[in-house]
Amino acid sequence: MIATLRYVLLTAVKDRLFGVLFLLVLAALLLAAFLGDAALAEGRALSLAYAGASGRAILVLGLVVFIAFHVRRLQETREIEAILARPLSREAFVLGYAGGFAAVAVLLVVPVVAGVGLALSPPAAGLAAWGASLLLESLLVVALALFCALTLTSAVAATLAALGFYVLGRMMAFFADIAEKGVGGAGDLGALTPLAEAVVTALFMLMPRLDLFAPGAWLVHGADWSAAAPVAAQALIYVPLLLLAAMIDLRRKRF
Amino acid sequence: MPRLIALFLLVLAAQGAFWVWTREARVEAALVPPPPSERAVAALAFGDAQFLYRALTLRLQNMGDGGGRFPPLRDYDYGRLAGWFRRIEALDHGADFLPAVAGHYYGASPEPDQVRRMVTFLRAHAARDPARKWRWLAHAVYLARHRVGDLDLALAAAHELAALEVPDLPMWTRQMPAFVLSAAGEAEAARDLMAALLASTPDLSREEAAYMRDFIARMDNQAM
Repeated sequence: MIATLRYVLLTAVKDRLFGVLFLLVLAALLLAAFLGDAALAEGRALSLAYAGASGRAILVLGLVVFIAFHVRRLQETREIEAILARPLSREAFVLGYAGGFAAVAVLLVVPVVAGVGLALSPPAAGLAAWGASLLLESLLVVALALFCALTLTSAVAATLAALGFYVLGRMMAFFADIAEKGVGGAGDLGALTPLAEAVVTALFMLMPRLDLFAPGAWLVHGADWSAAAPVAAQALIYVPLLLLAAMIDLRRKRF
Repeated sequence: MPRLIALFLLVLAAQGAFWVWTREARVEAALVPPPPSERAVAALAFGDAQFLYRALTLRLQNMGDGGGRFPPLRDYDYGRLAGWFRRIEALDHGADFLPAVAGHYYGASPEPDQVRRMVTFLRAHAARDPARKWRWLAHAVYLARHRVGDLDLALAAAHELAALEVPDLPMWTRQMPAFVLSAAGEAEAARDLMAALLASTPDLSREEAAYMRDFIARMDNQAM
């Protein structure tokens, strides 16, 4: 476990993941500060909202790309076969790598939160809640990217699948609205309307509610602790769900 | 090789023909595009309504300015703008960026009808949360009185402001209808209103009471 953790961290350093993401976050903070200065009013709030959203996007993109290509490299070099030839269960393999990637996620979340906090001084409780929620979101993204990378044979396909899934998860407020009020204003779909609504309802039921994670409003107006419980519950359910799916898929594979 | 060159020249000629065909075509972006639907906003937010609120309000602040053109406010479609304001407001009613853009930027139009729309927006915005938003009602009174010159509209907004049941509002918010009436030449009504306010407010500072008595005296002189 410790060896896997060290190996993953070493690869992240070698891939310049930390350096590149820090630079991107710094650029995002500078851009956010610039945009805040351009606003007619509440410039700091605008900077916070932009910094939070762009920091999250950079973090998610970095994690997904790193995990997809790291796992692909394991498969191409047949390293995965060498690891699984040892007395190590496939479940332990998934857990070990999930732990390693989770450590990378923690090391990436900390500077994002610290950067936003130091540069833009949001309310302390809001920053703490936002940071914790961002950490849970990034853990969910780690599990999602690991599942896609282990399931799909191409790193590009895994990256696109994970990002597509993530975007859908972030659009759940939109699907929730359709599930609640019907297709309605989206145009007349005729006989397909019940089918479309059933698909959306199924999507709404199965997809993670990523739209609840790390809202920028917490950075601007302070923490809303009543909204924190569903975020924690969603992460507690969906991270194990994805890891279990990855374990089941890995068990079915022959190397 | 000669065939390839001939083919290349043929495709290049096709590009020339395409240019002749499309050279008049321009992407004519409307100065104020139609506001997004409620569902489009839900989809665009990606779960971060605060970010979308700031991004759309910043877009509204800079709308139409770009590509080397800075059209005058009178060319803007304020009907559509009102739609944008309603849509964005739903994302964060507590913030002041949007009313600031409405009041301080779009409210600076030289066209009275356009400013009236902003006054309507500011009144509705303040009515949702008067305890925090009453200043925008005061700004609506200012726009109606000084930029539109519509004293009836200003008086309606001033009465709304004075009637707010918000503790610790400054005295001038209660006096606002009297000021507007005075500007409208209704000296007697302004005097009566200020006198009623003076009589019904027991804990006035000495300076405030003196100012109100002075106002009443001036209105008396005007009425005579």
